[in-house]
Amino acid sequence: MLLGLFVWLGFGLWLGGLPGLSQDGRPKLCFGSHAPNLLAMLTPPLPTLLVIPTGVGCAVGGYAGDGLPAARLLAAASGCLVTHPNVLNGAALYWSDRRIHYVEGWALDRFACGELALAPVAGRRVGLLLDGGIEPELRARQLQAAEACRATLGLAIGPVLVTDVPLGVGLSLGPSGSSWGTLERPDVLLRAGEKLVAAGVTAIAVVARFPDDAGSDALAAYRHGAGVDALAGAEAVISHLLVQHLGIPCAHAPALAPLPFDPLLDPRAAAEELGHTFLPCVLVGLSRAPDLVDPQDRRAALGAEDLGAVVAPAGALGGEAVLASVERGVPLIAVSGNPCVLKVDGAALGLPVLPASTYGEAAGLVLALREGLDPGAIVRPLGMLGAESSGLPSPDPRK
Amino acid sequence: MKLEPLAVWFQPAAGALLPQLRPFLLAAGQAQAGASARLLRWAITAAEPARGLRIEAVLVVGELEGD
Repeated sequence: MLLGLFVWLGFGLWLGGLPGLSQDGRPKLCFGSHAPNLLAMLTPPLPTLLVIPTGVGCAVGGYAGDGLPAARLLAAASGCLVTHPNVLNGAALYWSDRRIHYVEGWALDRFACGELALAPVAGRRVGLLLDGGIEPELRARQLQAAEACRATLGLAIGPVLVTDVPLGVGLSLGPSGSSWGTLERPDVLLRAGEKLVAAGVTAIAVVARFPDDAGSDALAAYRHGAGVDALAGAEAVISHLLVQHLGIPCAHAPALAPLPFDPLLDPRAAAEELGHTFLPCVLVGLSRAPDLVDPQDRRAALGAEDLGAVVAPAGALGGEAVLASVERGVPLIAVSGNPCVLKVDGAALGLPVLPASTYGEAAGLVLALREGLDPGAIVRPLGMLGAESSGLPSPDPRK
Repeated sequence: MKLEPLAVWFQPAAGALLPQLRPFLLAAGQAQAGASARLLRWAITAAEPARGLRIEAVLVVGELEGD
């Protein structure tokens, strides 16, 4: 679909092309507001996929948007990062970066499998879908958060639709200890989404009333930085349902009653206790989330074949996006410094990995791939050609 | 339409996993929940030499009324 030139950050301008268009007139997704800096002018981006699975207790990214610093670093190293809301959503906190593409998890899997491509948008109208099970005052808080994003950030938001009946969110844990959830009324969710699309929205932020469990041990562990996010699995189910059904960007924020003050709150969970809602980050993320298009669509600007690296926690490599990328030959950087409740690593699955102990090291590996360096050349001992294999993937990052 | 969890073990053959997993999971989901079941979300959540790979999934069962 697209190779090299029209995913190059800033290169279109450098070569005299139209802003936002490649030389053949097709849009470039990896065209950022940070161009033109010298590095961008000299080195094409290496589109990179960052996956931090939801609801499996990742030490980095398993809390309240605490994967965001790693995402920002990888975006700087790669010049083009595709990742999902769980990584980027910090309730009232967010970071907007043109190099980072906000792609909901179901769509991210389809993208990695080559079934969807991404197309840039200048902005979009985000419809707000509120669960009819949210109490009036808590609902008003959600609306005020949306109003704040309109007034303070200039986002295009609305209309707002409240479901006729509660969605009925339920939470549970799977055999692995990962969180998942269900809805009593998925039909109500999907019909409401259809109405918003008919009203002209191009993305949907959904807020569902989640069960309060203020006194539970699981919540206490999460707030103290030692547990699984019990809400995350159900959140993923909600957004997956909508995106699968409607084909537009959607993301979820839970509605919850305020929690009592906890002086021992872990820094990674703190972003969720700054305000009354978790909605602002979702509205910001969706406001420039790329369109999800058929890979053959002429607007398609970034496809799975453009990926140059995938980064994931070393013990959580069993998701569809990671497997699909590896099976396409994309180098997999496995971060051992991000443990979680799963132990599904490269050895268990027979996958070749580039090991990284931290996201800082992963960013170095991405930069090496972007520069065309063999990552094996910068570690010691350096084996002789024809000697025992390092186990590293091909030194050609572009395949 | 309803949602339903699925947890199954799978012993893969040599070769790429995805082409093996997708049809297996769809068949397992339909065996559990009926022919209308389809996958919404899944991941490999454990790997053991004896039992193979454990996959946890969420199924969508049934269609939207009126469709």
